[in-house]
Amino acid sequence: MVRVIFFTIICFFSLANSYSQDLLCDPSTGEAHSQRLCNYVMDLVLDTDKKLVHGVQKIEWINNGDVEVNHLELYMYLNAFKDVHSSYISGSVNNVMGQDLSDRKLEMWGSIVINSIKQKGVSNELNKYYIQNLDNNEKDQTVLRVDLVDPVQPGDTLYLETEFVSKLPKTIARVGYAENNFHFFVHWYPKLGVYEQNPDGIWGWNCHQFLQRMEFYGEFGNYDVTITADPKFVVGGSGCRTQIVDHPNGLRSHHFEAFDVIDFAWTAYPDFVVYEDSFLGIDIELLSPDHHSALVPRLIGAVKNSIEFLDEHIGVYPYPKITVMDPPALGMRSGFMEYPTFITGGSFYGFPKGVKSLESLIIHEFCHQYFMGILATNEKEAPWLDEGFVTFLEDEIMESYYGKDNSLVNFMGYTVSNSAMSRNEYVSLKNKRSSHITNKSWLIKGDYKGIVYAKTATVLQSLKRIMGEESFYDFLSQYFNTYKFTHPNKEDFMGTLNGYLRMNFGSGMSEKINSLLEQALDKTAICDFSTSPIRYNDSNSDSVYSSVVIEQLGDFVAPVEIVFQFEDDSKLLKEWDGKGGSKEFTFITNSRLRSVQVDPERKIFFDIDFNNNSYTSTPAKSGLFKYAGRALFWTQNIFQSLSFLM
Amino acid sequence: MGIVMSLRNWRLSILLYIFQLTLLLSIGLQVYHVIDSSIGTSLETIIISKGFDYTIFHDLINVHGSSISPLIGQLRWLFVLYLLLSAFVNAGVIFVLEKRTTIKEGFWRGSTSYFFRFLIIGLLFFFGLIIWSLIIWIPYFTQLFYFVEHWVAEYLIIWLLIGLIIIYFLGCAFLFCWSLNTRIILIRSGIGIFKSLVNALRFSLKNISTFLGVMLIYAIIIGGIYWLNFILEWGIGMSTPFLIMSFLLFQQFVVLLKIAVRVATYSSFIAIKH
Ligand SMILES: [Zn+2]
Repeated sequence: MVRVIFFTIICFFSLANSYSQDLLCDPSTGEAHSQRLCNYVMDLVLDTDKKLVHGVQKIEWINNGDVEVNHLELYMYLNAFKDVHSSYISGSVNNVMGQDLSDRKLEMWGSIVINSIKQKGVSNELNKYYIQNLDNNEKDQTVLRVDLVDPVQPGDTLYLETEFVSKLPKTIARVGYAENNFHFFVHWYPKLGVYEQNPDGIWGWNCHQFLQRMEFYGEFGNYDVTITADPKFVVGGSGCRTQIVDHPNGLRSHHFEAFDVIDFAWTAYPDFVVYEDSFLGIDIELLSPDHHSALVPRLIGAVKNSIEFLDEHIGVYPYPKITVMDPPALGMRSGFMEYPTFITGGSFYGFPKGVKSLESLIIHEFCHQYFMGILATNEKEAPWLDEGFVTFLEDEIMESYYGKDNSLVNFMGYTVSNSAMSRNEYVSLKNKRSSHITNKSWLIKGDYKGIVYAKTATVLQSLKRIMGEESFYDFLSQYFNTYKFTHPNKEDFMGTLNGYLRMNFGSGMSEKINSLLEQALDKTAICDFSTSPIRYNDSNSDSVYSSVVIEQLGDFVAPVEIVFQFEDDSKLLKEWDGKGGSKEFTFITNSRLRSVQVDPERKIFFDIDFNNNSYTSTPAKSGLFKYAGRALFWTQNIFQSLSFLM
Repeated sequence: MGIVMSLRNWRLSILLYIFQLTLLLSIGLQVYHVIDSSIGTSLETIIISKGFDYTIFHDLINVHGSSISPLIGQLRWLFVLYLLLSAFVNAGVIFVLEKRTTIKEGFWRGSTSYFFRFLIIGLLFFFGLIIWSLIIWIPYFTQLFYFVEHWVAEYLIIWLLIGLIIIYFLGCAFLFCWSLNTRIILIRSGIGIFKSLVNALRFSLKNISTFLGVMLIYAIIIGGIYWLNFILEWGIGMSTPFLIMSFLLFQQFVVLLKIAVRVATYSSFIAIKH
């Protein structure tokens, strides 16, 4: 039963109007889940006229490496939206996520400026300058290097104090302000990169410039954030709201705490209605404009389904709360995204019931909590470990709660499922070889989403079908629980998989899957099994000679199951190792071979054409009549209607 | 009155249906051929005979898209041909109904002698429809982004859309009414196109509620026929060869009924004049 509590946003009668205590929650997650290497305390004042916050920040960072650290690298990502010269914008001023920014007014751009940065106990300002570690665009100011006066020894803690101003742009790529005082602060504060060993074992900062198509990477820690704003604003953010204080000057402070997270995002908008619910001990807070009220059960239902499925199949959601922001249409550009314990949807008034993309999106963003948030893989260097897994789980959750074959669309007998949609997104790529899945985000050419999201999801779907559902989730939960809060990479994933396969299936299966994944993930091999027509020779009256050739039209080499069905209804299952490009199967039997089907269970889900996987001597022509007849019917109807004035 | 007349003129409806089917049957046959040559020997034919499968059609279009695109090109010129045929056939139909002749006597005579004038009237109204569409939809769609980004009450965007759809269809209904009356007056009075247009406009405006009422009744009948088709197909499904054939025949019957309704509309309009 959904318990929905409606809160009046503006109280005309009392200055003491305040949030119900229900809106507060305890941020503690029991024992520390992560190493909490990078902790922030931030005190912010929101200036809604100028669309900026003044921030005072204290950063506590532990050097977990084995060498002295004498400089820091900080993400200053709001500067990507400073002008047309940043690396993010400069290549595509006319089309940044569908927006033309070429003649933007000055006040519509954003920026982040550090007015003061000091090491605790050191009175001197630290020397700082922007660096460009991916391109040589000197005008790009998205990564700041800060030289320390007092180096940090291995195991020691750095205490840093900054004062900064973050000015929001009119929304670009989600961050920004919109009409009616809508504010959305994401990747908005001076934030440390991740100090870690590179593949050669050398310690250093992983802190890339901000480029298009690139997502984020951050270190785990605790956030203590106080946001002071006009009380007319409904404020929501990562973590838990632990305190609300009304000041004599008429402003209100919202105190948030979030433990073991890699980032902190927040929003302020006067016309949000706050809906509260809880499920499996997790508080759910939904911020949604009041004219979306009809969608609330759908949004909250999608969150609950995600929590339940992931809890059962992958692992426990370790935080006390999830906040969902369903932006008003005017803030739509801020939707469709994930931040730790804070996700955003994308809906509008009257969103049709038969289209489940509303739920699918919320489920997608919630799944990010596990991959972007808890595993916290490097989304820049290995985007597939996040987006690909999330898309796969989105498909799985949708199909398990909203219908196996009709999870996404179910309209008058026309149905589309999520996994079919993901596969089709991959197989209809014009260039399926533009990049391999495991490429770094900024090196991926071609259709980013088709490769990173859809193809990965399709490969994982294949892995699930080959391993069997139970084993697959057993393995996936092992991977998740082994590496949560540690930034795993591809080697960690493959290591867990191979260990699991060897233990449960033997080394043969491990080799088979390794070969398959190598071709699917690290290469751009294409898989397209096909079968020839069946040839017969009935010259001998006692027995029939039937023969068929199975061919791999692509360059993928994978073993595959083939089902042969005879006219006496007997069936034969054979496996072809997929080597040599093709193989002829011949039978001398009493009964003629009626049909042949390659990969009958569609285990190799990334096969780019399933229609050529089978041949039958007795096809159902009535199916062809049906659709030809329908095409005729609709042509007649449309022509009739369009010619009404003739 | 119109219904009675159109029942009396059932031969006319069948004649129109045959004209139309002859022109468009090739589309159905070609679709059959495309599906047959691309997946006709696959086991997937059994799946599509029982229901719908998104992946089968997606793969078909993805792999064999090149054999479908000529078909779409063909639809374009077929539509032009269809419009010409409509002008020709409608001239015959209105002539037969207005002059109360038999099909044998009147259809050919009406078609041949009024075809060009009907074609000009049709094109004029087609042009009018384009202008009407632009007037209604260009402001809305060019301002849509502005509405989305500035209107706090986003439901207004949807209600405005619904309102515009209603206004748009009312406008289309009026255009239909005006164009049909123009033709009737043209045949009846033997005056020129321009004069017929003016007279028909005056006459249509004067009796607007009657004409809209008649059109509404026929629109409800057509809506009902569609609804019945969908409900039956959705409820029962086209899942066996027998059901497939039954539904295909039923769908053709729906097309025929729609033509009959059109003939009935013509008759009713002629009757209102009397
Ligand atoms: Zn995502």
